[in-house]
Amino acid sequence: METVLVISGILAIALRSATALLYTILGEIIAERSGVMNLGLEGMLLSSAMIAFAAAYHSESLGLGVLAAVLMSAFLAAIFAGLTIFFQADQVLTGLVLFIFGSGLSSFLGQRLGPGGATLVGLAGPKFSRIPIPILSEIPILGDLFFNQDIFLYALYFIIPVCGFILYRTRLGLNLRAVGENPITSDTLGLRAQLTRFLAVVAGGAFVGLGGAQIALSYSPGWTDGMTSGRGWIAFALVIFSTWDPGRAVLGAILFGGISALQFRLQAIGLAVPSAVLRMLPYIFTLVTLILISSPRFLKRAGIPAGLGRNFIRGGEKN
Amino acid sequence: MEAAPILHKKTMTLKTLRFKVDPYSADRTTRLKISGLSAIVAILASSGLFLLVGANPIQAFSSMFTGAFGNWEYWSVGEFYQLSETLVKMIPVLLTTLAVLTAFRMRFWNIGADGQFAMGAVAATGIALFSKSWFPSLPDWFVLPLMFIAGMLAGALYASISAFLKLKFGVNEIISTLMLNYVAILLAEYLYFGPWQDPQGMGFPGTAQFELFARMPRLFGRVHPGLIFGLVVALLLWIWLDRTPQGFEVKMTGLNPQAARYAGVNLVRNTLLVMLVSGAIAGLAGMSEVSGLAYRLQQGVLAGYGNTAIIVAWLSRLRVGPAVIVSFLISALLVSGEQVQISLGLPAAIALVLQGLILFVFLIGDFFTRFRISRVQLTTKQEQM
Amino acid sequence: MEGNTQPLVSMRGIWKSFPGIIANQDVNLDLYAGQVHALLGENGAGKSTLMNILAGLYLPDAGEILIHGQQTAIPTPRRAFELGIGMVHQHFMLVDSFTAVENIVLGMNGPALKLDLRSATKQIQSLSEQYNLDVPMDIPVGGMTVGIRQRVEILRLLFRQTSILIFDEPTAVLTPQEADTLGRIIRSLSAEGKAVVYITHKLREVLEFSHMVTVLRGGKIVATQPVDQVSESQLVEMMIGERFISPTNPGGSESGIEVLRLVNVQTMNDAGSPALREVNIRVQKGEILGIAGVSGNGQMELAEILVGLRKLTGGEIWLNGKNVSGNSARQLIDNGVAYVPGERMRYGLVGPMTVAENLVIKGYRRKEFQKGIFLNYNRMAYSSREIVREHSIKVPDEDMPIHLLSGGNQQKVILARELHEPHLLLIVENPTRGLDVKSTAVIHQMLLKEREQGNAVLLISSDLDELLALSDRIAVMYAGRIVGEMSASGTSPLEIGNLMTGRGSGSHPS
Repeated sequence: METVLVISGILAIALRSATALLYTILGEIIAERSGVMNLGLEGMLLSSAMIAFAAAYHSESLGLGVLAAVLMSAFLAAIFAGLTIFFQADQVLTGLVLFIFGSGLSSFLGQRLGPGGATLVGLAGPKFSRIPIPILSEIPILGDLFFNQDIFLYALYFIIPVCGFILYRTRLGLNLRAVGENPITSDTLGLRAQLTRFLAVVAGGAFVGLGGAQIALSYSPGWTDGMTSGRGWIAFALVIFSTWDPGRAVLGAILFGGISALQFRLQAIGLAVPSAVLRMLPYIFTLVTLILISSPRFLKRAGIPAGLGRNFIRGGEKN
Repeated sequence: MEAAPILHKKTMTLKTLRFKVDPYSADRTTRLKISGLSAIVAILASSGLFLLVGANPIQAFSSMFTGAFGNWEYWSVGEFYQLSETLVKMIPVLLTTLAVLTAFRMRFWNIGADGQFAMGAVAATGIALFSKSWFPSLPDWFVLPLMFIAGMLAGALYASISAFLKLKFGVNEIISTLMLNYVAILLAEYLYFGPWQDPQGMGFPGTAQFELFARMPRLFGRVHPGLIFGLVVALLLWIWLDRTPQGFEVKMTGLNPQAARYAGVNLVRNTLLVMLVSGAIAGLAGMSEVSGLAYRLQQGVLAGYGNTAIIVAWLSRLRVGPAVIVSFLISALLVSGEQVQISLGLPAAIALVLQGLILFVFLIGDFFTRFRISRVQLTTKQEQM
Repeated sequence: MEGNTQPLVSMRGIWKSFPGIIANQDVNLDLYAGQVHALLGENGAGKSTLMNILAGLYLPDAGEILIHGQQTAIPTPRRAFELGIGMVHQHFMLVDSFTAVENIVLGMNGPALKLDLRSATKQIQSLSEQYNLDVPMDIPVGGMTVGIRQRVEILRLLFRQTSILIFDEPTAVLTPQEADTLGRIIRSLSAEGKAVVYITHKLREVLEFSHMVTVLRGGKIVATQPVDQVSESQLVEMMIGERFISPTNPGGSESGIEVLRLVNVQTMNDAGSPALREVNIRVQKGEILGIAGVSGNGQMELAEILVGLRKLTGGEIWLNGKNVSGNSARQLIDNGVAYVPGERMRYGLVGPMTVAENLVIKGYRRKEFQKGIFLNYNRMAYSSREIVREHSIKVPDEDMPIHLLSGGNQQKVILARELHEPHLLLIVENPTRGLDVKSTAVIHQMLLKEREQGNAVLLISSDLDELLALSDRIAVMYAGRIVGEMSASGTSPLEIGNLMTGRGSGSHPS
């Protein structure tokens, strides 16, 4: 019984920690499914977290904080999308620039958006608390685990299946995937590859913003420099690990989301795995996944979107 | 064949206005003009940023200049502290840029310079801390050269993993090098938080300080021989890549791998070779940082120069000479952030924001050297009979 | 076939040109319901261009298109579909990881948030059964054979209720049995009242599958006839036209020394089907052997195995008495194989490099270009200037990247480079494609000179005029085999035309 409690305790933490991660993974899945690879996730996450807290603190409205985060992240995504999709800039390069810009921006503004231009560090603003769902939260063990969480996680209970549904069972999803697999053919068939990609990246950005909001307003309320703990990078890796599937993304996020928090619990059971080693796992697992799916047997089914990372431009005017 | 009954004659003219985007290649003068224009726009944008945060752009730029290079006041009394700090920063930036540049020449997208840097640092640290206890009879003067070799070897071998994965399994090197980055950085963290942690450090996350024989002497200020390594590597690289037949082969393969195949080039051998060199240089960068600057392996040593390196490599169009210059300038930009914080009260992170802004401008400018926009008017005259 | 009064599609006065070439000159074409209309012609005759216009991929420079008598513009493939026009291209427009059904419904209008694949699947399944197409509904298209992929494309046209179906060289990628199946399918389509256009260079298909045939040559229509009113030889004559055998070809001397011998060579193409089936070729010193044939009959693979970029699955290659069957590209170059590829910018040149650099992409390791461990740029420049002068290559600026040079000059660079490498055998593929008359003449001169100097030349070309002007002997490739070999002088172009179109003496085209 004790082990069960310990495990469920670990899972609970994992879930909470995984929330922001999952939003970010989802956002990037949408972008990558359309064929665009965004290395600037961490920058977007940092900036949106920062602005979420700043907005919520000053307006004392949580809603405004979330909105600010979504807008900030979508805005940064739009810059990225504009540069890579319309200005044909290299995706890797632009992603890194976005990362630098985003982290610089969050650090800079974080030290200036406090009251009177002071830093945001140490301030206490409004925050989301856990909302136990009546009745369901009283189920032994599972209740506390799944139904005593914050609203962001509850939202994911709907968002993830909906994303999966849209991706695989709607025309929208089909078109998105087509553009990611073969932008040239899709565009010829009338799907407007560039526009689709742009919208996908910006929509993905919105999701990342929600992740940022969750960190700043629920998971670790407040602001410190670098508060995302590299979740943007982990998410990037986990998109691949989940083979671009929202359902499998859940697995990845839970497995690795609570890694750090996990460490203390593991020590308690007597498994002293160094934190650094635990944190390596998402990357190692992703690398292994990549090796597996790169073999021709897998490529045709659960593969990398064939057009990922390559820019597309309609071949000039049709003469 | 009969046509439909004739009712009336009508001429329809359909006009459609569209923009045509054509790939093309700008010539040298145009490229220079666009670079110049980009630079001007970048300055304007930066000034705009300063104004937005309530600072005087002129003051800001001048304090950045001072922060990076010093000024006449300082120079006249022989005080070159700021300039030397810029040079200190330049060492890892230049070396990782050269590492990245080498790989990019072959179109092998080595995003893993950070990881190779880390492995170089780890290997060098290992030698520094333990070589004497493993081989007690090892003469002191031998340690540094050993660290030098170990650093480069570690970086090279680590880089070859990605090369192998790509050649054998077709694994995308952007992602594999990125993943390996984190593995290496975390490995280093494990070591300096764990088994290699300074026993007298009172929980400080870092290894013990290196003994004197494992430290590179300072040249002036905090500038250490890493700078010489950087410049020598730049020279060697320039000779190799731009002046030898093997370098020609690498260049050709990078510009048109298909044609290279047809010309008999062994792509496998070239890929491996280039990645080994690239990793070695990045490993050297890591070794330099720990044995020349920090004298220990600790948090902050692995400060992520990889990203900057990629950007510098791109800005210098993969040419060694410009790479040296741009490394210097970018280092200046990064160092100047500190000064801006002191004199203007703006957080040092503004240097990063500026960096991003400037690069956005250059990315847009680059578009205009690769594509031409023209207006196309389509007129289709159709007669209905 | 019933006579219909009004054509389903009428293309009138179509003109279309691309840089350097007029693809369609004042072309008229009428397509009727229930009729299979073949478009016959050599490479570059303008057949695909014309149909690409109809299918919405290109806009004509001039001329009009009438559908059901109504003038229409067809600016996009989507619009073409709306008008009931669909095309099965040579390179399929399919997303590999999607199933047949997903590919078929892709691009169709419909509500964004719904996708009723089940009813679509049912409909497509029944269409598949109706026409005996046998297409699996649920596996990714990437895992299907080429023949089945083509049928997915056909299903797409059927599902979208196309009434005008265009097939562009469909049997190029099919086995003989698959080709027969296709023929059946096309017959049933036309029996239902659809209009079918069939682009081909194969006579048998024209005769077996179509009702009407239009012959195109050099962008112009030569004739349009009902198939039962025209003879095979007439068709070949129309397709090939009058050929002028250049008198300036003095013919090489038969040296009798064999340089290249292919023995029962077999290989596969990228799609996994046989590309070369038991090919036997011999080329002698001081001889130009021309390989005639419409492109796509194995010529590309032939060149690739000779330069070491494709593996043999059977047979042997002997070069100068040495078995070089498994050699790598580098080894073959060292053994004396020189090659001018068909696509010069893709495989023959490095665009951003200068002329001087491009001239040494095979020879840079030679001692003459080294100075110690360095590359001797001075020597390279000197050597380059000599070559440029010798061959009158127009280089406006030495430091200019080669992709800015004209096509003719680029080609001269490649040829000059190959000629200056020590070699025994020169393989050239479509050396004058896209070049102006003057450059063509220069290139031809260079090839003749090659022969004079005693080297062996393998000239692979889809340009019959060129082959007749330069070759000593001509071998004709069709469907991966050599279907005929003859001396160039004294052969009639028609004879070659017959072989190129699969009409061989006793040779079954498959």
